[in-house]
Amino acid sequence: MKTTNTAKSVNLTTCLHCHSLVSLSENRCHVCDAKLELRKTDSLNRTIALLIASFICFFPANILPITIATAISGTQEDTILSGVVFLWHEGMWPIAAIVFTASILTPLFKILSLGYLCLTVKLKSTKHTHFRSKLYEFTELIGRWSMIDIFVVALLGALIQMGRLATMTPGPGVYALFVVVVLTIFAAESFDVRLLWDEYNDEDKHNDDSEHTGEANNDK
Amino acid sequence: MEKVACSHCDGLFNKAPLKQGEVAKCPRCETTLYYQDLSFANAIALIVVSFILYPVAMLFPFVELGIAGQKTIISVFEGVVVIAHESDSIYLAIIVAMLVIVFPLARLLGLLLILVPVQLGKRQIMSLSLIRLTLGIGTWSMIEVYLIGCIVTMVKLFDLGQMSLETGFYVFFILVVFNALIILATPRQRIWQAIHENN
Repeated sequence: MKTTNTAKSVNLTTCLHCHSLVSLSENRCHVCDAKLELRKTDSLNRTIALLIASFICFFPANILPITIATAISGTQEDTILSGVVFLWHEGMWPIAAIVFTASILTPLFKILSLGYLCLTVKLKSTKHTHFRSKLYEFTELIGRWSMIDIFVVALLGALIQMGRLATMTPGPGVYALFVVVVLTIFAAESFDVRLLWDEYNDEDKHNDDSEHTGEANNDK
Repeated sequence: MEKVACSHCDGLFNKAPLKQGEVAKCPRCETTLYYQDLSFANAIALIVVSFILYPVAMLFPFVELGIAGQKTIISVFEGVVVIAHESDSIYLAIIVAMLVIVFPLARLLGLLLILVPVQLGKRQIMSLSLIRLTLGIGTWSMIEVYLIGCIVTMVKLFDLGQMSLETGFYVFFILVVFNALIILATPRQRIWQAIHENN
């Protein structure tokens, strides 16, 4: 199999907005006028910074209550996890699974998978490039679904408003969860998937001591 | 020979002519490279219908909850207002309003203003940076996530009282389906390819 030429090797780049092939000597894309870069600026550093920030917010999102229910009998604060446990005990395990996957697993999975991808780029890994590329696509795709719980809290808060009888108010955890989701979406956006392919060699897919093509300027 | 590079793996390939309805994919990582079909008539029709349905989905009764004889009926819009007023969560109200009302509508409107000139073979009305912005806010339009959130809420309240879906919900559901079809019919590259060929 012939080694595939890359745009980078001939000083061209793909505009990430409109996907047209442009020369790097131009500052802006001639099709859509977006700023041109060989690779997303500071891709790895930005992604890692956003991941760390979202990981920090992951704790308040799960520890602080997301709903505060007030009734005559008293006040009950619920976190994401206690809500899941409640649903599970009530026998509504499909919904419990949806909430658990959306609010807890998905953000965690995004942080771990993007962290892993950043690490492999840093280590200039040439292995499993197809898998890693697909992993990135998947990670990018699932991000927004973590917003489910935020909408649930908003709907509960709007529906359960019966004066002194019972009210449900959103707790601070909901904002922490929102920040986690937004930060992970930005983290996925700032990662440049082409970095995974920069070290890729078509000729021997599973050999990492092969000659590297192109220069080793990764993070630019 | 004209070349094309993959946005995913940076592979550089010769551009091959396509037949009607064909799509060029990257031989290395299977990402879509470019399109032959640059017609957006279906998408425009769906967007116009969505515009008519949107106010209905937002303002008509969405869900009804009955607990101990007391009934609460809300529309999507009222849901946002109630959150801001009653439970003092103005920020949550803003978040929901943005993700479910502002961004989806802005995207639909922007898309229409882009696609109509494309379809008529005219130059673009909006500036290039505004077009980039419109095509970039898709991630933040979350009506399908809201729909799933509503279903989860329903199940959560199953024990507490009787919750029923109203007109607004079904219209909202149709909107979500239309929205998915619009997204499928308007990939960003395809739009830019068409704009480029027109300008």
